[in-house]
Amino acid sequence: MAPFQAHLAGGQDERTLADGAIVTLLDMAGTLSIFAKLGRFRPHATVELRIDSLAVAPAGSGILARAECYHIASRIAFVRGVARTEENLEIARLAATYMFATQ
Amino acid sequence: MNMLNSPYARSLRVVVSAISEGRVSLRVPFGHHLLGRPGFLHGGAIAGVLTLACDHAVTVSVFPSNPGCHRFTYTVQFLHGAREQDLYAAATIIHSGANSATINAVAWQDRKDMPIAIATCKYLRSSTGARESGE
Repeated sequence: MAPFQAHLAGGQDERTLADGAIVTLLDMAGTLSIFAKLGRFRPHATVELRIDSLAVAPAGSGILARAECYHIASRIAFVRGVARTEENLEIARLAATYMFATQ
Repeated sequence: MNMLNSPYARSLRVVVSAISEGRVSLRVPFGHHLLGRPGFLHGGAIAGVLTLACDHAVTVSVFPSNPGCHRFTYTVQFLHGAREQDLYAAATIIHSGANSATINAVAWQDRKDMPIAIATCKYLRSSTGARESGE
């Protein structure tokens, strides 16, 4: 969860939350979902992410990101996620893949 | 409207380095506020810069009279880690139609032939000039 901060305003105008803040939070949630699935820390990097923007997030609202790691292959983790406002308005969906660092 | 004057863009300290026909170039001086894992820029910051570059290209070149256009989907591919150096991003208009536009952006650091990340952003021109709320 990320509380709203004034420097995060500025998506389409200054009354909205910047998409960069939303993708940052979703990417972070995606990373943590991999640790949650594994039950341990394992270094990895984002390979690709797709964000579908469902609604604009008003500036002033905190954002909750929820991500699920639904599959882990030998070197790749597959993640999906959703970001919502505190009023439970769905604002973005994430589909992402992460690659584990070679040991 | 200039997205690069937004609080978010200012917090990243994004500056425009060049604007030409169908192309926008940005520079982000290195700062510790951009870091993710130690020694590397955060993917979210890189994605934020790439989308800002695309948004700016759309705003100045594609739909200058319609600030209501919005980016409805985008993908970012991360090609290799971004080190503690300045980051550059350039957005190029790939397609611009009556109702939609597709913009590609690439981010690099010291070597332009070794991109850090690439993004494709898809925009829809809004007939009302305002983005629909989530219904």
